[in-house]
Amino acid sequence: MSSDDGMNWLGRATPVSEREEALEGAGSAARLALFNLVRGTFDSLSKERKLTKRELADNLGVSGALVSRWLVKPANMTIESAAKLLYAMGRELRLSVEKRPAPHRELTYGENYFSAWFHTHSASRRRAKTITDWDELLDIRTRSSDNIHFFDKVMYFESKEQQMILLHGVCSKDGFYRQVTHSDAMLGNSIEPTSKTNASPIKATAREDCVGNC
Amino acid sequence: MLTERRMFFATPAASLALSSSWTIPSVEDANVIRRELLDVVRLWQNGTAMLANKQIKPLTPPPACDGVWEFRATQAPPGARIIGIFPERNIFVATGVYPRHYLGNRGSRGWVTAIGYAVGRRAAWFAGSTINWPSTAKFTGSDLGTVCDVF
Repeated sequence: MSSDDGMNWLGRATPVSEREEALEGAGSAARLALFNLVRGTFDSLSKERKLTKRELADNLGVSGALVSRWLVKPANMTIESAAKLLYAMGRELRLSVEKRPAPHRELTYGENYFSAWFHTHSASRRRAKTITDWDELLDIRTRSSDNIHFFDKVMYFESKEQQMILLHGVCSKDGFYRQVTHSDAMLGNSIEPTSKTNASPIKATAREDCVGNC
Repeated sequence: MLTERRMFFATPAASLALSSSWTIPSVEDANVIRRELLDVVRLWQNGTAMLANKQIKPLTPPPACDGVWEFRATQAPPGARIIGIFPERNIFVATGVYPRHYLGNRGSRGWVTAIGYAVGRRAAWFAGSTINWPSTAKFTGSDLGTVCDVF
């Protein structure tokens, strides 16, 4: 842990089990999402129509204090109270099921994370692809007849079909990150590296170099 | 292959904070606070409606805080913040996680350290760039729509 990040408060951390985390989070995040829906709807209606908590309470036949409790703390929100509140606002609650996202990812020392945007000059052929695996990148290079250049921490190649991949990877002591932008060439800008760069062909050992030196 | 529309990354220290039990002296609801932070992150990842400026917001004032954002847990005192940056659209990198009282008042040493660390990380990540990436400036907006797709 870095000492200049201001996170000394954490002390000796005890990891929470992933399963425990996932189950607990599934319930509490759903409750917070429900709360956000109701609270967000109320906020926008109170702005548009000057809707008040008192009006809601009157519509529902409950006390103003109860409506306040519902609208202030996510922990007080149930699916029933949410449905009632939305009904009183002239709205209806609809639920859906979606694939859940991955938990947060840690940027680790020397992690290789590349993205590539494949562009063509024809909009209909434009597509985007993300590459997270160094081997996949090398595979593309092997299969391609085009040149891939590795300029220190920035890579790009340009194909004969006017497709272009721009890859930009940055290694730092506590992580690896990259940024990819749209093709500069398409904008008519030069993508030649500056004189500071040390151009060299991409090599299979580059990943190891990166881990060790960046 | 990463297929999510919004991605959340964390530096090792931030990741440790988010995935560990908190033992903050005198804070009874420490893990409730941590839980709320994770919930807020999950909602952001899902694209679920968020309460503007209550759960995620850009830090001010610019230019010192330019491009630094916070995820906020406010339900149980003292609350907590995840501070980080959007190095590109739809991708957030958490550089620090802080109980609110450790940050102190705006402008105090806690805030300055946290913001300075985030800005420093960003500078380090882009230090190797040999191209003047035109999109960098775009991710310093003050509106959620400028840093991630709203869907």
